[in-house]
Parts: sequence; structure tokens; C-alpha cells
Amino acid sequence: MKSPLVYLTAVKLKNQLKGVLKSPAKLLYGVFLIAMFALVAFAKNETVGGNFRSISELGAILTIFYTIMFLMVFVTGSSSNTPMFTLSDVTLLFPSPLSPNKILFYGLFRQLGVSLLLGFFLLFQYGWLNSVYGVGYGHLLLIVVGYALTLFFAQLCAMAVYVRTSGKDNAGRAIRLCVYGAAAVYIALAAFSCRDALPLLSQGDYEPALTAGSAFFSTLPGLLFPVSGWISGIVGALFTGNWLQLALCAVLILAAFAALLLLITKSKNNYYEDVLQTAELAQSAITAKKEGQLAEASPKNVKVGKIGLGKGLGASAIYYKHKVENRRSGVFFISNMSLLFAVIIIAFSFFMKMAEDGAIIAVFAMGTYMQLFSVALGRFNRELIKPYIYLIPEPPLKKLLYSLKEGLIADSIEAVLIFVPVAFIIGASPLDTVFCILARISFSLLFTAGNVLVERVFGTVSSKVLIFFFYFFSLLVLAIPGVVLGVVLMTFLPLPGFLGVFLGMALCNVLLSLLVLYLCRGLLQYAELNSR
Amino acid sequence: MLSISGVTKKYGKMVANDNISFAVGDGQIGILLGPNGAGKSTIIKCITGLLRFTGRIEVNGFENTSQEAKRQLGYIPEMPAVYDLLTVSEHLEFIRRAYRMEDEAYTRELLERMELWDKKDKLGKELSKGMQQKLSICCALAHKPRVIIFDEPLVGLDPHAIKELKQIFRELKAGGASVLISTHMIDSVEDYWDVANIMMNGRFAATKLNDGSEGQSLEDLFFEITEGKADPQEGGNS
Repeated sequence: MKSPLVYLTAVKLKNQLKGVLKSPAKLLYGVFLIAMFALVAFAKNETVGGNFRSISELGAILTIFYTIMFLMVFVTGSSSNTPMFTLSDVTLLFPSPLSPNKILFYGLFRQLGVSLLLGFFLLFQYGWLNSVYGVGYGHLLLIVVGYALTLFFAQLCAMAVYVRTSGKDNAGRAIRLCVYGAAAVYIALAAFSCRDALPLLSQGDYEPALTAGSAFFSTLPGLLFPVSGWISGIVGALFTGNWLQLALCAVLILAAFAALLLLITKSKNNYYEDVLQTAELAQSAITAKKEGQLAEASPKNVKVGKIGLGKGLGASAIYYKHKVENRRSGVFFISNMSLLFAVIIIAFSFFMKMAEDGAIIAVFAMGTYMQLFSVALGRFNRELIKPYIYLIPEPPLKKLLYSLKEGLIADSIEAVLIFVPVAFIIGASPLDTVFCILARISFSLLFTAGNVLVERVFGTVSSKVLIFFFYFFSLLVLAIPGVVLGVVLMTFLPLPGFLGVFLGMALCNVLLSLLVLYLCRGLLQYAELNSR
Repeated sequence: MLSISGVTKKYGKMVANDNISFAVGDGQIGILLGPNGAGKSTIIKCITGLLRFTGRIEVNGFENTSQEAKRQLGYIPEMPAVYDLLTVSEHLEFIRRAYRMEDEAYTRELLERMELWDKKDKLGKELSKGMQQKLSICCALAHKPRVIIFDEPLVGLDPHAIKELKQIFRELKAGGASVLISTHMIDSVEDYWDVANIMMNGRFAATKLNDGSEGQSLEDLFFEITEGKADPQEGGNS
């Protein structure tokens, strides 16, 4: 008779595949992703004469990327969204007479598969990786496998730490301190290796720092950062054919794997307790998703502070409630996600500085793309999953505007926080900067209106995949008129800099947003929210 | 008075509620019974304005989506509706402000009855599921609604809260409010219901009035209908 764990793995895989084929929405989504990948792959820019940037730069990017992901997953540990075991594994397998070690291997196998799937988004980076570094399909696959291994090891490490420090608060804290300490030493070493090039940054000369940084992160000892450095070392060695580095990193990773397994399986505490907590958390996230709810994603430790809304009557109470919630979630005007996006955009502007004219347009375009995601995570969308906003006896348009107010204020502050430093870095004119900020705010308004539109028009669609699909499609369609008007103004009006583009977008977006919000004003009176 | 006339709700081709009509009068407790998937939660969401439908629903004579109707409606959803980042007392303050109600003493009394007063400074996310359900009940009653809809209100509650909630049902009834309760726990409503509707496949299979006379119990009627021993059309309409 087949092992129950082999049977379970095979049947789950088979049913997942069947599910994709039977569900038109999932199939459509799958076809769309493949089409997008094909588009990215074929739309690559051919670099004439193979004039690529140094591959060591890519190795350095991988080391940094893998290390950030490793640290994030390792430090958050059991609160990870993709646990090794589901709640059904916990309730059916753990009490069964199967060996805990066999169950662990079943979980590890499953986790490796999930990690590989999570790396799927990396495939979409093919276009620029190919044109800048000459990366081929095989190389890209290696990068994905490296990413999956990083996530896999991060969770394994988190589990080992949990098993060994369970019930010992000091030990857990000491390990976390060690990890932070190691990261700090690593950053200090990187800075030390670039010490000669760093002063040149102030003169606007980035190339020496880039070269020194790449050299550190893509070779020894920069590759010795535990696990993520070794995995990056393996991938980089396969790119360059550095077999000595490959052997060294492979030995280190295999030794780490064996040590982690030993730490977990030979511990007096079993791993069940850690897994149970993680599985329960993940299950509640799955249930929330099935019910069309967004995960609240509230921080673990909340400082309550002053109690009470203090102000607000009728619809305005919603706005004051949002202010209290934002204060508690540790958001100083803008969310952590927005802050991360802001840092990425500002960092991106450093690279754009080297580009010729139009740097501000490139940074703006990238920022707007990221805005698609950050607007969707705003408090307005979270408000829609609770019944109160529909039940409050106030005019629907008033409720709508008050529930959007906090998000729009935050987006305006975010626009200033992003584009003032960006303007300094790329040397944009004050006029361009002001109108760039206005255009950014207009996109916030437009995307928020797009959110309302999607809820209003596609609220009855039961497939969350399709709603996601419609969301992006609708936002792209809504953005087109502004872009077109911007290009028209830029072409036909004698305005300085990129004023025409930003002015056109801002004008069109604001008008379109107000129209959409007016047409959808009934959303909060008469919702169509299935399973909510 | 809650009045539902010819309400039909479809999800694509699937008919979740098929031409449903019923009423819960002032000072009455109406019960919705039915197996899983019968359409109970759907009709409740139609009443509370969370779903679109064809037909007409009135709350004390006002169309259910009007502001006048919303002012008089209280809704306790099946899943507790609690904000993670608001404290217990802030939930009640929010409702008071949103509904423009000034009666702070009443909301304090509700919290005390539900044994939540000592947890008034705890965040929503720090409460257990049962406590979240109690808070959800307090929020729905804070603005003193005249029509109250409970969707599986007893699930997850401790014995004290169940006893207190049953007492609240009786008080609401005595105060002339219309109460509609959807539940699977038939024995928990046996002693105070006025009109019971048994749903099957999106329709009403039977409606029974509690006239105080001895006869077939609600539980027996429910199993007769749902296990197919009685003709749903005849289904004990009384």
C-alpha cells in the first residue's frame, strides 16, 4: 500500500491541476500570466553587440535581494503567510501514528513547491535582466530556484529557532539580537569595502560605488552571509563557471540543511506547537479570503495610547475612526507598505539620474505603477468589508467622501515625501516637481475612484481572481485618457519641461475621478457584497 | 414592523431566494430555520441592504435602503464585525457618533450586561471570538433600533451571554421592537418565538405561528420538512 503521505501529496497536486482546468477564472488567469510572460520574453530589448553590464552586478543584486527576503521571513518566522502545514495537516496528520519526521519531510517537500510558486513573479523580470545583463532562460530559472531555496531555508531556520527556544524568552531574544547583529556587521563590512568610492557619491559619481559594492556582494567574503549569501554564491557560480565557489557554497548549504534537520528532529520539543499557531493564522487568512475579506494586517504589538475618537458626528465619524486606527497601526501619515514603496522609488531615481532627459517621467511612471497596489491596500477598502459603513443612516455620497478622506490626505503627503527628494536627486525643476506631485495626487484619486467603480460594477462577481483582474484592467483603462491628454498638451502647447504631461494627467484624472465617484455615489447605500 | 414582499435574489442562474414574502410585526420575534444553504443568510443580507434583490423590503414603512430605515435597523452578522484597532469602548463611541446618539449610559449598560465593561480598553483584535460576538451585539443595539436582525447570534457565546441575550430578546419584544433571528439551534428559541419560517432551497417550506396551543413542536416540524417526511407545500402552515 502506498504511503499515506505520498498519496496525500499526489492527490492534492492532481486536484489542484483539475481545479485550474475546471475553473474558467483560474484558467483565464493562468493563460493571462503565460501570455504576459511570453510578451515580456519576446518584447526584450536586444542589446547591440552584446554590450551587457558586468554579471557580478547581477550577483550582487541577488545577494542583497535573497538576504532581505531571508531576513524578513526568518525574523517574522511563524507569522509567515505560507506555512509548512495547513490546518487540515495539523488536525489529521499530527495526531495520527505516522512518524513526526516523515510528516516533517512531507511538509518540507510541500513548502519547497510553494516557495517555487512564489518565485513565479521573478519570471516577469526577464525583459530587463536579458537586455541589461544578457540573462537567458536557464539563468532566470536558476534565479527563481535560488529565491525558492532562500524562502525555504528561512522558514526552516525559523522553525529550528522556535523548536530550540520555545518557552525560553531570553534565548529567543538573544538569537534575534544575533541575527540583527550579523546583519549590521554585514552592512558595515559592505560600507567598509566601498569606503574609497562613497565620498564620490556627493559629487554625483555613482559608478565607483556601484563597482565596489558589486565586487563585495558577488564574491567572498561578501557571499559568506549565512544561507542567503551561500545560495546567491551557488547561483552566481553557475553563471560564471566558478566551480570552487560553487563547491564551497554547496557544501555550506548542505551542512546547514543537515544541521537544521538535526536541530528540529532531535529536539525534546517537537515542532507541532509552532506549526499549530502558524496553521491557525493561515487558516483564518484563507477563510477571510473565501469570504472576500482583505486581511487586516494589523501589527502584532499595538500601543493603544489615547482612547476615544473625540470628534465626528454622522458620516465624519468614519474619518475620525480611520485616524485612530492609523495611529494604532504605527502609521505616521503613510503606511509601512507606502514607506517601502517610497524608498524603492527614491532609490530608483538614483539610477535614473544617469539617464538622459525624462528621468522624472520614468520615476513618475514607476511610482504610478506601484501606486496601483498601495491604493488597493488603503483603509477605504478595508472599511468595505465591515457592515457598519452600509448601515450608518447618512447620505451615501457623504459616507463615501469621508471614508476616502484619510486615504487621500495620506496619499498627498506621500506624494510630497517621494517627489521632493526625487526632484533633488534627478535635478528636476521646481515647476515640474510641483505638477508631478499634483499628477501623483490625481492618480491617487483616480485609482481610489477605480476601486469604488470595481466594487460597484463587479461586486456581484463571485470569483476573487476575476475581481482582481477587473481591478487592474479598469484602472489601466481609467488612466488612459489622462495620459493621452498629457501627451497632447505636451506636443501642442509651448509649456516648459514636462508641465504639459503632468497638467494634462492631473486635469483629466481629477475630472474622471469626480465623475466616477458621483456615478457610484450609491455604493454605500445599496451594496452588492456577496459572502460579506 | 419588518415586511418582505416577493423578494427574489439570484447569483447568476442560481436562485438563492425565490419570491419570499413574510412579516415580523411590532413586538414579535420571528425565527428563520432551515438547513445549510437554504437561503437564510441571503434574505438577511437583502433585508440589511448588503445585497441587491427584486421585490420590496420595508422597515417600519420605509424602504430598507433609505436613511430612515437604516436609522431603525440593527444587524448582528454571523461573523463578528469588529475593528481590530479600535478598543471596545471606541466601537460604541463610533456607533453613537455615526448614528448621532448621545446616550452613553445605555451603551455602558449593554457592555456591563455582556460582561465587556472590564474589557472596555481592550482592542478588538485582542478579544476572543465569543467576546467579539458580544461586542458585535452591543454595536448593533447601541442606537436602540426598532427592527433587529440576528444571524446565528448564539454561536460562540458563553452560557451567561446566552442567558443575557435571551433576556434581551424578551425585552426587545416587550418594548415593541420587531426581532428576526436566524438560527440552527431550534431548542434555544422554543420558548419565545412568535412566528417561525422554515426555509428549503431558497423558498419557505412552512410558516408556523405560535398561538400557545399544544401541538407539534417546532423541532418535529423542522425535521419532517427537511427530511422530506412532509409535503413542503402543506408543511404545517398554521
